[in-house]
Amino acid sequence: MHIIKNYLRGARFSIRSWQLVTLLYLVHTLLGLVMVLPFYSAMKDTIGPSMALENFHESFQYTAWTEFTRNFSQKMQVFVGIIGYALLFSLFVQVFLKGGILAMIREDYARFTLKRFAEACGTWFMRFLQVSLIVLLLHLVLAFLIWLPASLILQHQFTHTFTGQSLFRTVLITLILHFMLGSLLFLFGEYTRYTLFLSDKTGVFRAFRKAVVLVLNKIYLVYPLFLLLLVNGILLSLVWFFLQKATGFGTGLTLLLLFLLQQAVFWLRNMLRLWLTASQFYLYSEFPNPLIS
Amino acid sequence: MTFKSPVMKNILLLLSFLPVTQVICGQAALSPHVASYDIRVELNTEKHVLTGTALLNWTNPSADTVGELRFHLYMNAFKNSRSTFMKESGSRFRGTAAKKEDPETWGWIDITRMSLPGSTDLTSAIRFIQPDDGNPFDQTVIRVPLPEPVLPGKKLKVEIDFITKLPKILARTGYSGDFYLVAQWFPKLGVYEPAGMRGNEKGRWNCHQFHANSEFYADFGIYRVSMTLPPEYRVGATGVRIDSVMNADSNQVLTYLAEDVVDFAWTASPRFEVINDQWNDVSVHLMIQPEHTGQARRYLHALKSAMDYFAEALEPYPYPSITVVDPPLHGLQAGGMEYPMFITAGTVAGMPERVRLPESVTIHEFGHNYFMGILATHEGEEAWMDEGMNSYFESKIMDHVYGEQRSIYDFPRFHVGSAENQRLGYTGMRNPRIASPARFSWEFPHGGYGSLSYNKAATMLFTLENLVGRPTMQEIMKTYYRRWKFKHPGGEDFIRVVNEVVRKNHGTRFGENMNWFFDQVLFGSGICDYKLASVQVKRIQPPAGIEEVGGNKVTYRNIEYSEELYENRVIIHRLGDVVMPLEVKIDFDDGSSVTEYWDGKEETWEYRHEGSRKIVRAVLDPENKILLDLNRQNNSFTLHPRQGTIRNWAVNFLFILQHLFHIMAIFLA
Repeated sequence: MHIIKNYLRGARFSIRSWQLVTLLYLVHTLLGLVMVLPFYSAMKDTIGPSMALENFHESFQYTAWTEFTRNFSQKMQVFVGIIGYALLFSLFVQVFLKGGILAMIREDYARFTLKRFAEACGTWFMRFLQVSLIVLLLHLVLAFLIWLPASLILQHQFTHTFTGQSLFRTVLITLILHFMLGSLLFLFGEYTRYTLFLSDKTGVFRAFRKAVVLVLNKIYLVYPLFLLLLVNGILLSLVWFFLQKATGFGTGLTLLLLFLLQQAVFWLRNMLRLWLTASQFYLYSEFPNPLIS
Repeated sequence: MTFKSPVMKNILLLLSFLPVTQVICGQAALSPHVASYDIRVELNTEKHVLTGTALLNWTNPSADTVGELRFHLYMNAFKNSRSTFMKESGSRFRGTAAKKEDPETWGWIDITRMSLPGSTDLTSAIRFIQPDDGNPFDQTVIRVPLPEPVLPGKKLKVEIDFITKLPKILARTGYSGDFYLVAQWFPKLGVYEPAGMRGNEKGRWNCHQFHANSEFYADFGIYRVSMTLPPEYRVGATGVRIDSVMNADSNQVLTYLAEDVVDFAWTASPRFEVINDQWNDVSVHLMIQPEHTGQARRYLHALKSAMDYFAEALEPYPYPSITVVDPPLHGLQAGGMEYPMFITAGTVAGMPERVRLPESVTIHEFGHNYFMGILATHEGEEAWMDEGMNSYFESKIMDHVYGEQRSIYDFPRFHVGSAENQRLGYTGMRNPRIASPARFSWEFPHGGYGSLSYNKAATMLFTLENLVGRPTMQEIMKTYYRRWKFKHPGGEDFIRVVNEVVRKNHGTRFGENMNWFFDQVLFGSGICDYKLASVQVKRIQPPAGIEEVGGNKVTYRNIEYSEELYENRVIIHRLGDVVMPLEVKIDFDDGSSVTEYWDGKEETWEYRHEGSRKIVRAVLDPENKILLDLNRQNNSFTLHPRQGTIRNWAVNFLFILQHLFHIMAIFLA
């Protein structure tokens, strides 16, 4: 009951918070556009007056595509480098936004104002940044701990005995294991933020420890809700997959349609993100005395 | 098949010493049997050691008196890290490094006895030589002085006892678990090339060391090989199985016979599933891993398609059998290799139908039965003749059978054809000028062997086909095959055929001969790149000043012009050194177009047109004939560029970036 109730409560919140969703959408889009506009200009410069890509929308042409990417590769390398910095910058922006998002959720149906949102963002930024760094570090440790033994097993078994099927099974099991433990890490991070946010205490490590205990104790509630919310994202991906198939490789008006569809899907993704955070936050709020004492 | 009658057994025994199919079918030998072998070998599956005895029957094919023999001991390439093979390869092959600390990694071959009939011992006279690089640690070639020289046309028999330790699979030979790919495993005689053969001024032994990039070269002969090994092993080999018995130790003794071949390889594993099939009169054997049996249909379809294609393009496959080996995942190093009547392919479990790598490898390796097996070129000295020509045919077959531009990868929004992949393999080289494809394969110290011997050579042949036309190219290949099958042609022999057929079909349209083509792209390392530099349209201003009209002086502004006139220019630059004849298609705004021909020789070329029409676009080489052109993107120029494609990419890039930021936000923030 807890799960469904908070799942639906989260949905209600995300639907009513269209202004917040739009804000999140605009932030991501702005970050993206900063990259895409020079990228487009560089591509235009590379192709120049050539007709090599003119019929690309009718059917994929490997030769034209390869030669274009080859001619574009030097410029592309610059962009690949910039993407790294952009992601880092984006991480800071996302961490910054988290405090505002939680504040809006706590106030439930209260009216959204940019001022209140920005104040909350600033208040929680440093503590949430610490949480993000801890989680990032643990993700790296987890990847190392899972894949190192897996690769050692693979390397050892590979000689003489491994078949393609057993290789596939080993990699699949390792991936599932990584997903399950990785999602636990994600939950530890999220519930640490909720703990900090509701207790207004500054001890990040202490909050993290509490959150770990809480998540593990209530795993029968926390994890199913997380999986249920994950299904939302998967369903949206499936819808997008079929929509994209229907639109094909657009140019002109069909490209405009494709663009609008993509942006609509991305707007919905931001809504799902709020749904995820809100549902989990509500669930957390119902736990008896979860706060740092 | 077993026979109880002793008479029948004796007849079979007698027949088994003779070329079986030729005797039964009453055919003449297809090739000169210069070097034939009768080998008996036992495989110790505990120690991975072969113990064998070989009887070599050699005929001096030259007019020379030959006083020594030279043999390849290929397996010594894997003896230690100081062999030429290991030094050149850095002890790596196809990305896999030899595990130096593991003693089982290494392989070697020892000759324990060599003698002439009548017990004239040659063993003590054996000397290692290093004709290519003088590396004293390389033991892949031996020289054996003979007590009596062999006179022209005379035969010589040599008995050889040898022990071969197989390496852990590396460079397409050895063992992996209970899988064996036994290749280059016995002392193999070099080729004595008579004067005149492959451009030689005088007779000589051609017996190079085993190099990292080099493959093989041997004389035709008859191979009769009996192998003894545990009964649970399933065996495939060059040739046809003519006998199968159990010995006193309960081991199986299998005897194979192969005629008119230049090598003999075999495989053994208890895990093989064997699928037998037929193509015309040819027995097809697929030795496949149990987990890959679902892909057997794909292998067989590819193989038979190649057999059909070659039958039409050259001649039907002349041997009685073909064996395809599908190695296990842990033995994939054995995959993708060719031996006469015996090829290794490779796949992995779950290979999607739309990814046709097993098909591509099967077709390629089967093609080597023609280009190397029957047209027995020197794979080390002129790799382009087997790898390049075979890659050309591989691409033709792949694109013919599975569709152009989608024969290798065939997804709705991503598809790649074999011919275009060959071309891009060459044009994508970091430095396409690094060497010419006509070098010895070990003379690519700074890379480029694969791209030049396979991709550039294949692209060269596609370009040649586009220039001279498909019928002429087909005639060239057929003539070359018929003239040189079961012989050892050289590059000049092929070019001679090209010149002859092109001259016959086209006169002097391409010049006195096609040497200009081969000199540039085969023997030269220059690049071909033409660029459509600009298209200019300028309105012609009405003239100014005074003109006499009917005895009166009038100013030009009073003369009426019925239409506007334009000066149109198309300018082409030759950026590379290679010269190719080209066509240029020019489109005008009224829908008309002209096609101009340019010999491509000057550094720049200009087309001019004055009139009421305006040029809207121009395309260089509109039919994509000159596939050697490194950059086709600069072969067209339009005054009205359409940006739909890159706008689409930009829109999609934005969508991807948005999601990247979003995913990071979910998991880290």
